[in-house]
Amino acid sequence: MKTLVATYLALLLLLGLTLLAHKFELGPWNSTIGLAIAASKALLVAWFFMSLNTSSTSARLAAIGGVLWIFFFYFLGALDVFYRPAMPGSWWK
Amino acid sequence: MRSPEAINSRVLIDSDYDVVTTQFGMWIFIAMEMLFFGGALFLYSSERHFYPEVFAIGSAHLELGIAATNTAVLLTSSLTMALSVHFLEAKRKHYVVGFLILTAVLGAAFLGLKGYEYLLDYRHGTLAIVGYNPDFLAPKEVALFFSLYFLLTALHAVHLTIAVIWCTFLACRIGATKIYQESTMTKWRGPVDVLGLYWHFVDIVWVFLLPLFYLLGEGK
Repeated sequence: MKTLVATYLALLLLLGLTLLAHKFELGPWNSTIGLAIAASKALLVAWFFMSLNTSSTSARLAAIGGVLWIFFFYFLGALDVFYRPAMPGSWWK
Repeated sequence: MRSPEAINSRVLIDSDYDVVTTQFGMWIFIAMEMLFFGGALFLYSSERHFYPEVFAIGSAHLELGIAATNTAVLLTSSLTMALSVHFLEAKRKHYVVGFLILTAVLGAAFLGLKGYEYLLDYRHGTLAIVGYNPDFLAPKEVALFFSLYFLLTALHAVHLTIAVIWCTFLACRIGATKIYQESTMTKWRGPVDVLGLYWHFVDIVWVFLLPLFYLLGEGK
């Protein structure tokens, strides 16, 4: 139970850090920092609240698999969207 | 590898089997949900890549105070949900029911605040589902940001609504269990675990929506 409460306090601290970082004008780093803190919060929630620290290997594999598929999806999708040459007369930029 | 004692104990085998397979099944479902939200988030990424300034302008119109409060509410609900799972393992029925009810109330509070935020968006003329106020939107491409904002936050709200109803239902079912025995509490382990995983996943989605929509552009 102490671990759960400590995780919660860490999450609130990270939320405070997110809002504090937003006060500073850091250009594109604002977004990067916000997402990095969000990823840290997600890891804390998954590991302690979703009990991945005590889960079976199969549950951990399924969790990692989900994240991996998101990366594949983003990587292949980004290759298509950001590097597709503009076609004449196309609405696509 | 299970011990001979465990193999001889049907209750333990069933109970072990249930928790492991139930959690595995729920994680597969969560992986699918990740891809579901991933599609909408990919659309967000590609549009933001082409219109970064429009996203910064749109973000400045959103209510950061409400979103930050909502994040704190949802993180608190994640703690209460984790505590209900913790007390279920300790077989403390009243604590389980109490924390489940508290979780549902916090989820409903989030939805109430989100509804109020949508009302403010409606008054500003930026609520995608009822159309935009052309005087407010400058440049007009900001509508793209608000459409994505509504799509993703509404999808999240639908997920949370399901979780709140599910949580309330489960609290009532467990609360109505008259016979307080070890075996009675063990049978709720799977349903509460699954609900807990779903609830935390919905929490994680919001944790990412906060910086993606509310924390763009200039610091305030």
